[in-house]
Amino acid sequence: MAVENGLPREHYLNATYGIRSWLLTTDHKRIAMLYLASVTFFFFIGGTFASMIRIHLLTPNGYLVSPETYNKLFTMHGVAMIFFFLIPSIPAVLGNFLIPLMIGAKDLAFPKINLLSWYIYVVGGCFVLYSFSTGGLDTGWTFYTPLSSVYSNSAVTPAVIGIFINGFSSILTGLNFIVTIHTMRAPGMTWFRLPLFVWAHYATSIIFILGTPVIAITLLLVGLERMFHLGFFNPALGGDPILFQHLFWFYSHPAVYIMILPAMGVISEIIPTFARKPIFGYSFIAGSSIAIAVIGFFVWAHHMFLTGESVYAALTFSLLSYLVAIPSAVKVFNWSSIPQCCMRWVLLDCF
Amino acid sequence: MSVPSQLPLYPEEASNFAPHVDALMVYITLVCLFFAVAVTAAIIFFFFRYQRRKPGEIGAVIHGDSRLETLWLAVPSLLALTMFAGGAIVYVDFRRAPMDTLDIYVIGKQWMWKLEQPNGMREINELHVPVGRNIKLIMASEDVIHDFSVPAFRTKMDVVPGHYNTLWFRPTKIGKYHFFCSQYCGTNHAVMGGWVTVMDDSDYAAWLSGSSGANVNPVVAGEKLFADKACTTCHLSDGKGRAPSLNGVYQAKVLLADGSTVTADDAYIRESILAPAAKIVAGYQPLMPPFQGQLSEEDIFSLTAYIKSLQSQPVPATGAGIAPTGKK
Repeated sequence: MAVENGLPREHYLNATYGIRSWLLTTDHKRIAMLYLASVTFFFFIGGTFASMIRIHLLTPNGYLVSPETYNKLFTMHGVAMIFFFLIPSIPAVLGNFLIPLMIGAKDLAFPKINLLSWYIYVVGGCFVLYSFSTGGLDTGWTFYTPLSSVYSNSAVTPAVIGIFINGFSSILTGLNFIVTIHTMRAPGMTWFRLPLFVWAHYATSIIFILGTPVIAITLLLVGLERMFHLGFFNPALGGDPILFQHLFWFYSHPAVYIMILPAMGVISEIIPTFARKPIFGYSFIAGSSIAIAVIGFFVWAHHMFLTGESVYAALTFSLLSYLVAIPSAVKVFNWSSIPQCCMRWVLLDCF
Repeated sequence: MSVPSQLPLYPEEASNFAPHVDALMVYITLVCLFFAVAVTAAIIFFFFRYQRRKPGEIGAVIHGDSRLETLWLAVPSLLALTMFAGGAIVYVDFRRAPMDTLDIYVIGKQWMWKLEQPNGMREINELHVPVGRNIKLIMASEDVIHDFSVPAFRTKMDVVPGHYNTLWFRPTKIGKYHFFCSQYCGTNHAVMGGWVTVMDDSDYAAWLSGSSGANVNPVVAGEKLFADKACTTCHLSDGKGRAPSLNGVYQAKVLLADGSTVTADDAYIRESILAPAAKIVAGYQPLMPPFQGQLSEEDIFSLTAYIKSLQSQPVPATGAGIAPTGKK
C-alpha cells in the first residue's frame, strides 16, 4: 500500500464519500466518528444547561430562572451528561476505534450491530430531546420515586423511554467488545499481552451487559407507574420507594466505573508512551480493572445509608466500598512509578 | 459565630455526634492529603530525576516489582479498614437510639415540616428541644422522599413515604440552628427548612406550658378517631372482642399467626392500621379492613399516641395475642 505523510493513500476517511457512505457504514472507525459527533452534541446540550445554572448562581438571589426551571436545568444537565455523554464517550468513540486496531482484528465481531447500537443511541437521544423541548423534567437525574413516578408534573415519560432505549445501545456495544476481545485477537496476542486499554474496556463491557438491563427495566417501571398507575414504587398503591433506589443504584453505582475505567485505560496507555517506558505492574493494573468491575457491583447500597436500611447491610456495603478503592489506589501507584528507572534504589532501599 | 476550638468553615458542633463526625472527617482528609501530596511530589521528582539527558538515551526497562505491589496493596487496605472502623462506630451509634428519649413526631410534605411535641404542641418549620436530653424524631412523609438534616448536629435521615424512619440526637449547646430538607423533593425543595431551637430545661418547660389551648392533645384526638373509625367495635379493652385488646400492647411482644413474634413499635402499629393483613395476631381472623389512603400521617400519629396511652390501663388477664414475657 502506498504511503504518503505517514498515511496510506486510501483510508477510512477518503475511501468513500457522501452522507450515505457514513450513515450506512459498518466500519468501526467511521462508527466511532459518528459517536464522536453525537456525544459531542449532547456534551454541548448538557454544557449549556450547566452554564445556565452557573449564570443563575452568579448572584445570591438568582435572577435568571424560576425555581422550577432551575430544577429542570440540573436534571436535564444530569440526564444529558450521564446517559448520553459520559457513559458512551470513551467506550463508543475510542473503544470502537482502537480495540480492533490494538488486538489486530479487521473490525469488531458484529459490525452491523455496531452500527445498530449507534442508531439506537440516536433514537433514545431523540426521545430525551423531545422531553427537554416539551417542558423538560425536574426529577433529578436519579429519578427518585415517588417524585418521578407520581408527583412530578414534567415530561418524565419520554425521558425514561429514551433512557430505556439508549440502554440497548450500551448493551450491544458491550456485547460486541466482549465477543471481539475473546475471539478476534491476532495470533500471539495472548490475554496478558493485551493493551491495558483493552483490559479496561473488557471490564467496562462486563458492567454494560450486567448492569444496563437493570436500569432500563427500572426506568420502564417508573414510566408504567406514571402512565398506568401500577404500584411498583408508590406506597399509596402498595409499592416501595426504597425498592427503586436498590434497582437504580445497582446499575448507577457500577455506571461510575463505566465512566472511569475506560479513562483509566487511556491513562495506562498515555503515560508509558510519553515516558518511553513499559507500563509498571502490567498484571496488577489489568487485574485491578476486573476487580473494580466485579466489586463495583456489591457496593450500591452505600448510596442509601440514610434510607433506613438495616445497620448490618450498611456496614457490609461500607466495608465493600472501601475494598473497591484499593484497586484504584494500585493503579495510581503503578502509574506514578512508570517514569523512573531506578525504583529499586529510590524506594526499596529506603525501607 | 466561630469559636477558636472550632474547625474553620464548619457549622457549630452542637450535638453528641458532632465531635466524632468531625474527628473522623479530619482523619480521612489528612490521610487523603498525605497521599495526594506524596504521589504528586513523587511524580515531579521522577520527572526531573529520570528525564532523558542525551538524545537517543534509552531508559532502563522495568516491568514491575511484586514487593512494591504488595506494599501498596497492604498499606491502603489497612488505612481503609481504620476509616471503615471509625465510620462504623459513628454509624452504629447514630442508628441505635437510646431508650430514654423525648419523642417528637415529624411529618415532611411538599414543602414544609410539621412537628409535634409529646404534649400535642404543634410547630411548623420550627423545633424546640431541651439541651442535654436524648431526642428522637419519628418521621413520616405525606408525599415524596424528604430528608431531615441538621448540619450543626452532623446528623440527617431520610423521611420516606410508607415507612417510619427515626433520627436521634442529644443537643449539647443552647442556640438556634438551621435544619434543611436534604433530599431533592421538587420545586421548592431549596426553601424547605427551618430552625431548631435548643433551650435549657426550664425554658423548654415554660415554652411548652405557654402553648395556647388550641393544641389538641394527640391522645384525645386519637381516642376520637378510634371511636369515629369504629375501631371500638372489635378492639374491646377486655380482650373479648373480635380483635385483640390494645391495652398494654405498645412495645410488647406480639405473637403472630405464623408463630413468629414482633415488637409492637410505631412501625408495626402503622402497618397494622394501613395493611392489617400483613401481620395477623395469633388466634384472630383477618377481618380488619385496610385503612390505606383513609388516614393522614397525622391521624396515624394520633392513633399511635392513643394506643401508647393505653399502656397505663390494666392489661386483660387473658392477654390474647401478647406473647408471655420472660421467655422467648
